[in-house]
This record gives sequence, structure tokens and C-alpha cells, in this order.
Amino acid sequence: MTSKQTTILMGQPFSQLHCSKYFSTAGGSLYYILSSRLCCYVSPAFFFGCLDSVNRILGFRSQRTKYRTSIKFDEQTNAYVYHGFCCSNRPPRYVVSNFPSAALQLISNFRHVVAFGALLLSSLIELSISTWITAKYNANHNAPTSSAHVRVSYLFFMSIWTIVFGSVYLVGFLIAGTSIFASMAPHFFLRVLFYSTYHDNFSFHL
Amino acid sequence: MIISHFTYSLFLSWIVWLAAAAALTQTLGGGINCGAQTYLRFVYCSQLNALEGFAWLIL
Repeated sequence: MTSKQTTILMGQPFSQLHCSKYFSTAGGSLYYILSSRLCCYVSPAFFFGCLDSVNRILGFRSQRTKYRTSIKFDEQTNAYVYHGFCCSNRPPRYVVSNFPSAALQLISNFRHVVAFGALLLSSLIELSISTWITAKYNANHNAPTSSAHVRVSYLFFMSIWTIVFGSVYLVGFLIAGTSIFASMAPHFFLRVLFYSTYHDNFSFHL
Repeated sequence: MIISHFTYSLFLSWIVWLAAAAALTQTLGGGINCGAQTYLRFVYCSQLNALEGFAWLIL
């Protein structure tokens, strides 16, 4: 399928995250702080899009950047290429490929993040309420029935379950949203664990 | 990832959340009218109602 989709995937971002030292804005320093960890998780095109918006809202304008962010279709590699706004005199950083099929496009990044964000928020509220009630029942022994105690505790467990696996799927879809099987899932955590030993302040090395 | 997601989200998690929400609803008798308890049976009345509501929301 060669139809041009604008959905952003991860091409070869990890080894070329050099942009932070070219920032002189608040968003740049924010990125500098977060880059040591979070760039493993977040799609860089999405991340830099948000960063660009933050800098525009705050009124910062980097001296080296002209906000020439663009996504262009490269005919040779048959993929979308993200031209970052940070270092426009450099070769493009982020290769944005197209989805392999239209069926997989049903799950887009944004909708998925919104849906799982709502799920995680509700689970967090549920966790807090059930934790509080369970603690009160345990401390004061004033559960109306034992079944109420047990079922509130079960909701406590379920909210933890949903928070854990919802976070895993949220991050997993951002990283490998189009892979059919979840065989890569343990790999993410291992890579995140071991990445900190390899990176200097500006780049990650595959 | 997608097959795993459908297995997890549409099957396993839905059923387990359904069980949790239905169990709590059955315990509360469908929901407590906090102002009309003849004796103070459910001491954390509004919290339990909120818990039930969010459980059905997450479902």
C-alpha cells in the first residue's frame, strides 16, 4: 500500500536525538531535562510538535530556529520524513513511515492516547476512593457486610490492574502501534532500563 | 500488539470490570440514598456511590 498517510510512526529516531543542545528556549530546556528518559517513550514528531506549540504559546523563539517544521514525502525511501525545526541545516532526523495497511490505521495515536488517558484517569479516581474506603474498613471495622469489604478491596485491585496494564498499552501503542503481536513488549522495558548506561547527554545509541 | 490489545481490553478487562461493578452494585442494592438511611448502615455512603459510578464508567 503506497497511499500517503500522515500518521507518524517511529522510523530511526533513537540514534539521532541531537537536537537538545541547539535549543535556547524554555521548551528546549524542558526537552533537555526530559530527553534523558522520556524520548524512549514518546514519538519524537509528536513530542516536537508539542514542544513547538509550547514555545509559540510562551512566546519564546529560538535564535537558531525558524519554525520550519515540515513533514515531507521522500520518494526514494517511500516514507515521510520529519524535518525538525531545531536544526534545519542538518539532514532530517525523523523518518515518518506510512501505515502498512488501512485496517491498522483505525487505531491512531491521538485517539488511543485520549481513550487510554480517560481510562487511566478514571482508574486513578477509582483507586483513590477504594483505597480510602478499604483503609477505613480495615482500621475501624465498620464495614456493613463482609461482602462490601471484599468487593471494595476487589475494586482496589482492579484499579491497580487497569492502571498498570493501561499504562503498558498506552506506551506500547506509542512505540509499536502497528506491530501485530506484543512480542516486543518486554523488550521495551529492558531497553529503557539499559538505555541509561549508553547515552550521553545528547544522544542515544542503538 | 493489536491482537494483544483486543484480547486484553475487549475480553479480559471488560469481563473482570463487569464483575467488579456488578458485585458492588449488588452489595449497595443498586446505589444508596444517603439521606434516607433509617439506621447508619453504610457509613461512607457518598464514597461508595462514587465508587460504583466510576466502576460502571470504567467498564
